[in-house]
Amino acid sequence: MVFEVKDVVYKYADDSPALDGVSFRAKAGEKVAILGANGSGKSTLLHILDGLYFPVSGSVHAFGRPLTEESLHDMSLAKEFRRRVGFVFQNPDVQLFSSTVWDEVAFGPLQLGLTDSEVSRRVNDVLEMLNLKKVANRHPYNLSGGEKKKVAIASVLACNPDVLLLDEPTAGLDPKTQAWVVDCIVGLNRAGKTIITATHDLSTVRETADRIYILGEEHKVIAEGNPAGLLQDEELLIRGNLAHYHVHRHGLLTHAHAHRHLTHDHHEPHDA
Amino acid sequence: MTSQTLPRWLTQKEQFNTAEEELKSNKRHNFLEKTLVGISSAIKEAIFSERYAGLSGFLQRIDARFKVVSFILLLLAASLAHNISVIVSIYCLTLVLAYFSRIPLGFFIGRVWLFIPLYTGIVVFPAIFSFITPGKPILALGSVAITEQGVTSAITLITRVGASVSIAVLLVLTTRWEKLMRALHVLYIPQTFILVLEMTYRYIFFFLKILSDMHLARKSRTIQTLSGSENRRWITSRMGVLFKKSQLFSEQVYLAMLSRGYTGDPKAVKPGRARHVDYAWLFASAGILALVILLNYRLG
Repeated sequence: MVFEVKDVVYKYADDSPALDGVSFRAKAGEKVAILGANGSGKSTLLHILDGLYFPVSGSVHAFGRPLTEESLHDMSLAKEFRRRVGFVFQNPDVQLFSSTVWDEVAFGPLQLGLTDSEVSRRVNDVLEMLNLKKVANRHPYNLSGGEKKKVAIASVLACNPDVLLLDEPTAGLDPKTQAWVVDCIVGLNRAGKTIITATHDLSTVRETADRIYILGEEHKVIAEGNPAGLLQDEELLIRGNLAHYHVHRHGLLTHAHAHRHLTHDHHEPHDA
Repeated sequence: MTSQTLPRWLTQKEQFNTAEEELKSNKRHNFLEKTLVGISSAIKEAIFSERYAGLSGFLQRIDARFKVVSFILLLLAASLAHNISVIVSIYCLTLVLAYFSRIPLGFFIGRVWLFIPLYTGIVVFPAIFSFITPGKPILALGSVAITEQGVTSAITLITRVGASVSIAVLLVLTTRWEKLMRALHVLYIPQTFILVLEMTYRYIFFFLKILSDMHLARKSRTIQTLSGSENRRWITSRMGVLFKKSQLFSEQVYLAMLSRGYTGDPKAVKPGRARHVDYAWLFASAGILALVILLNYRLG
């Protein structure tokens, strides 16, 4: 088991709940998606899995060991954890804090204590793999949204993590880049990486998840299971604010039905 | 959402009588916009323009560490020189270096002289008169005269400032910003401080863009002229909002750094090995400083 989260409660500074008794599991090599509307606590859960936030109650275990603020004070444990878990933030500008793309991708391996030659090798390999060599010396400010997302992913991959946490990886991207990100996620999972994604984009979940958790507006898990089954449950999706009721007219008749966006080019058929 | 759920006024066309509306040009509004655009262009030009740093000129090929040290030596030489001929020679050297570094001389001279030396001239102007610098009068203006010593002092100061600014501008134009930051380590500036400088450079334009977008968002919804006090209140409120945003953003950036193994002791790639040309350039700069000290002694 890579992550085991039990009954975790997390509150914001103003004491409002972000997570209220959430349990979560992820096995090595799995693709797990955490679905939920804005404000349901998806990002908070990812921050907890990455040892950046710590719950007020409940337990978090990573790779069989407790993940607490105290345990991360052990430098060797912290280093191992940071090497094994990579987090791609939702806003790439948060993550791109170095002067150039090359420096950004090199940051992680350098902090983990790799030699300069190994750092250079990894950076060049990752830039080559993600077709970023031509922007290696550019400032992050001069990159497009899609390029920033690629650099953010590259900066995490250079540490060769076992687990990738991705916060809304397709948010704000054009369709081509979204498709690239989805392919990248699937490819990395086939290479053995555990992928945990937080998203409300239902159109990509079938490809990027073997198992899904749905967080409700009460900041609790309202469902867990196979995407194929759960995504057909319209009432569940409406309860989780992942679908809405669509009302339209046929002559004098008013027709209401659940409406969810599963693909970009069609909606599900309905009877008049 | 159906038409039945919308408030009534939202389904009706708004009535405007533009002939009666007084649409004055908002000079204060334009001032805000021009200031924002001006600052943003200046920063973009000064920091992000690396047209010349990327060329294969003479100075661009010198290792940044050696450039930083050698330019400090040249700055010392310009500051210590007493004789105006020596200062002019140092200035001419910067022009030669600019030429061989493929920097257009017109651009270089304009970049140097249009600001700091010009203002230095304005500041030092009173010193040419006898009531500040007594001496041999060269032009009498009633009870006051322009003195030879005053003119000499003023010209020496302006030329020294011009030469010093030329040296600094040459360093910045021929060195990529991140290499310049990393080269500061050779001056025993802590890596943490350099990291903070690099990140300041990285995000200053980011926040300026946010501020510019805030202004445009307000502009898109502003119809009538706003008073000076309203504009000042807006500026003050944006300062507060931007401060809060940057504070929250910095917390997120710190978490992103922690997530990639940052422990408070930033590590950087070790610089590459120096070449013969780097040492030769450093030696030449030290030689220039030594020559200036010798000339000061000989010429007085």
